[in-house]
Amino acid sequence: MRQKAYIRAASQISIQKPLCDDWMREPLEYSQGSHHCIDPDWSPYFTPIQSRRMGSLMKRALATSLQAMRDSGIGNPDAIMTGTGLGCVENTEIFLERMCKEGEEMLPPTQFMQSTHNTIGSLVAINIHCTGYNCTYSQDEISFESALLDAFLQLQSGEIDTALVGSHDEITDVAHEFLLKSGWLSPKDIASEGSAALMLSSSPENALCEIADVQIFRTPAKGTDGKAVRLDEIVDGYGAEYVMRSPDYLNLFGKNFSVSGLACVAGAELIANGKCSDILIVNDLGADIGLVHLKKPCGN
Amino acid sequence: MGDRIAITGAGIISAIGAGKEETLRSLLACRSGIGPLHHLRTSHALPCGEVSMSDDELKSILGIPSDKQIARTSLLGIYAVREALGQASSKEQKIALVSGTTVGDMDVTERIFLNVLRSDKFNEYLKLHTCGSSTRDIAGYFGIFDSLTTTSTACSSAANSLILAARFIRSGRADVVVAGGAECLTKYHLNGFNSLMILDSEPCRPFDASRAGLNLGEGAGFLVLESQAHAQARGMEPLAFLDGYGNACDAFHQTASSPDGDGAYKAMNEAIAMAGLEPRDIDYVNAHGTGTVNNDESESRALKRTFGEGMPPVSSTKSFTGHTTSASGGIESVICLLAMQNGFIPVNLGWKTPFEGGIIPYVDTPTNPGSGCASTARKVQLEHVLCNSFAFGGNDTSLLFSRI
Repeated sequence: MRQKAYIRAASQISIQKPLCDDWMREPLEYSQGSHHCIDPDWSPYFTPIQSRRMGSLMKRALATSLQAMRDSGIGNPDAIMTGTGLGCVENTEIFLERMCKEGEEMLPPTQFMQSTHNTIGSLVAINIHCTGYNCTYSQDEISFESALLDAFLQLQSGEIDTALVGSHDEITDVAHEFLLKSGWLSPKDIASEGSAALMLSSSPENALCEIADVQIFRTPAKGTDGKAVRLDEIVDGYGAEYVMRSPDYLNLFGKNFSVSGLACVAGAELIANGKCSDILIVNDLGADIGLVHLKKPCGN
Repeated sequence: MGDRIAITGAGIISAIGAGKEETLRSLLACRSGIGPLHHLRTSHALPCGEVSMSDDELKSILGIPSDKQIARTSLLGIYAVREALGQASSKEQKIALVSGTTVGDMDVTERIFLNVLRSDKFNEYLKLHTCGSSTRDIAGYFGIFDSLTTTSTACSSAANSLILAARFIRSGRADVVVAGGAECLTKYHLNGFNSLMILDSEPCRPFDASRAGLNLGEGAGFLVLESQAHAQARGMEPLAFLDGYGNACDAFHQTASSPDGDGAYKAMNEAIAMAGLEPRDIDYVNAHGTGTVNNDESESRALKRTFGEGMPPVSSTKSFTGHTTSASGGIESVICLLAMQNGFIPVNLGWKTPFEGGIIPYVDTPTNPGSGCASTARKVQLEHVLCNSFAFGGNDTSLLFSRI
């Protein structure tokens, strides 16, 4: 018998009002260009000394994680799964630029040490002393769905009962330039960054919503008979009350590799606030598709 | 435990050979691939485990046009996946690709970085170079994968991709999963490791008192996994089984391991317990054994805590391949398979003197025969082996393979 998976708490720091429930009432509006997050007051989460030692991405990842933990009432999760498209871009860039411009001698290690993609997930683990399962996924647009799928399958199989799932990306001037020049961003896009953290549990108690399904697949997808299936057919197959497509959430959060994680926070809040009881979040930003199906928990 | 996870194909490329046959010959002949660099352009004269073929040679073998811009990580990955799929002869399945990488396409990024910043135009030839794009390039070459993703936990990435593969199979998300990892040498991480002062200017000596760091390596290792029932139904004889795995976080420091090797200990014990075995059932451990002072000390402690007096033979094959970082879990899993199938224990090259608290790795001596390179070599029966991959951030993973 498979266990179910629920979202117990969800928090975000993005270009919308951070770490609160009421951002959706009057969402901020943005136009083209590159936009940084609206960062909260960090003092409820860490000391000024800790704060100085961490870059923006780390602070956001840790603050959203701590907030989700507090809101969920779950002390320490069984597992931590993290999705990030570009990882610690700022540190990577500093080290890379120095190496390319100044040569290979006398490079300081600090930025390199904190430039691997798993820096984020392990920072959270170190801070909350979580020695459980820990994995990081980096698959461009579907990094978040990859991390969520791992957690979802482990909750279903009963390997774990709780998981902290994060979705974190940052934007820098150089990254913005690369994303524009490679065509991933168009000049009309709202380029952004963001952090989302979800606390998942196998128990429905105080849940915001149930995670009914998570999928990742390549397009064109093929059905059981091997024939090509259109994305719309797959989406329709869920019969969801509200299908949240990328234009819906790109307008709110801008475009970045972690935006579907932010969309999932919004979806969970919509269900928890009774606005909707069944949402399919479609991540169709690239050729690899992510689907997250959220439902009102039964009996709530 | 349910249905067992069968391995029906394996592919490998590293400094000690392209393909399983060359790799096996090098292991049996105790021939290390660590030496001077020929392809990577760097000002450092550090020994590395570089794959002997150039990008152009790899492209020519793989039938990829020489003017196609593709990262070396992807070329190495394609080489190993091609060998693995060839052996598993898998067709018309629900098939997924899970690849582990951290450096990804950085070799391309570091070559074009300043030029991209200097030019002010949209560049139609520039595509995004990320971890994910290297996996997409591997998948794109074959055109058979229904889904894909990338694990990126630094030096345990490939090992974690094998765990996700097993999970995809058990849950019915995929019939067949090709999983492992690929990583090429880049100036970026060579300089990164150099800045941390953990690169040895001599060939590495894992678990030796004089060890002074690691040598970086490159390559790829991939396995084809499916359920035992699925393999049986299509008449495939499994090469081995992935019967257990453990993933734990040391939660100690971003780049250092805890003195007692807590994460490593937990990962190994979870793997053994999941397979329903006891530590005494393990016949060989392919250690993470990077050759850094910190890793070998911490891993020795974790091994001693796990095995006590009954320590099985342990060796680090990074003394052959160099530390192939994200690919190491894939490369070393294939080496474990070769050892089980051919009945030998890979030796730990470069070891002479024990250090206080350190394990004594498996070396080739007349009184300790078993490896292929001893003149008195005899066949050993390896039923269960552990393969360790530990990483920055304390992302520690241990895999358990069984022969039958």
